[in-house]
Amino acid sequence: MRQSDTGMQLPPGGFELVEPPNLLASKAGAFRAKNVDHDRLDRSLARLVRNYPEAVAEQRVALRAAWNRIKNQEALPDDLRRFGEIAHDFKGQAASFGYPLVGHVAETLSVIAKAGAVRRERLKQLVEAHVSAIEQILAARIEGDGGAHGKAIVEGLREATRKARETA
Amino acid sequence: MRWQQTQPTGLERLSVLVVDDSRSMRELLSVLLFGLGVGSIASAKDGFDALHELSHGKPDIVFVDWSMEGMDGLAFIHAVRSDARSPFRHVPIVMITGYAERERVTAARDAGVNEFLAKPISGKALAARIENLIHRPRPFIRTATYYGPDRRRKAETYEGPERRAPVATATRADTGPAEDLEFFPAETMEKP
Repeated sequence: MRQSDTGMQLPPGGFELVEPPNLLASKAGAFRAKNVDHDRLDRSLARLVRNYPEAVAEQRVALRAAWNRIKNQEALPDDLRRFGEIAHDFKGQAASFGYPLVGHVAETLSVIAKAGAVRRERLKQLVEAHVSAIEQILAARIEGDGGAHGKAIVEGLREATRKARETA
Repeated sequence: MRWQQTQPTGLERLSVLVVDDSRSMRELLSVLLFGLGVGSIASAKDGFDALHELSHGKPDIVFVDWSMEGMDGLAFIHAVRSDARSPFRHVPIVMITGYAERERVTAARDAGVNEFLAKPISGKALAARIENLIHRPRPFIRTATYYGPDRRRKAETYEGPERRAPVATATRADTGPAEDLEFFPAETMEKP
């Protein structure tokens, strides 16, 4: 017999069922998702989406600054960590703000950063292309998949990826 | 400008804690929660900060991002569920994640998460998770190695003869082939 953390004896593979009081129901039992005015909710998000490029301007500038120092072999002790952190942030947040293209591009940067490969010479052009793409998308406020402009950016990144592979 | 619902939604008395290391995401979630009618919203930038907020703000629901510097979402859930003396051990936790891979879902479920919210986040998905927590709460399960919401698929109402031994201290493990990702509705595995 094994003992649970409350001292209760549990047979091998056994379990105890615990029913915590449903405090949420007592406080918010009237809530039903279907009664929510989602149009109103979307309007509250519109401002955030509209201002997203400005809201992340500081991160965009910091990403570029860290990358410039890394590629010029002048990296500060914190630059690699910061680079990965910003790429990770963009990856996780951009699509929720209507900028999935930024999220996709940042995902590649995040993968490279997690692999510890940001400094690799053969990936220099690839990383540069992705950092530039994020700057372009935000500057041009390319929401959603970006249509023709978005397609051109993605194509450019594919080309940069192909080149990086060829130099491997 | 922040838009609230024109009519009370029923969430006005709720207090919610948002844990995310991205300021933009904290703001996004706060705007959505406020728009849904939630009365009080606090935020924390990582798991350590969130543990501190738990004891001060006494939130009714916690939304926590998976990937954070410092203490990440998974470690936070472990910390909350594993402390037998904690008054917040049963607090409903929704894991926010951009990763919907099976291994990640399983790891979060095994840590004791109540619900998943996949990025990109939408108001509809957020409202649906809150409704689940309120109206379809799961009992907690205590085993020698786990304490958290029942990880099995929710039982359907069954009005036939008794088919199983009483649940408490039964000898059947709460982990096994029958327990699978089926517990989580398909929509939680897909990005809205």
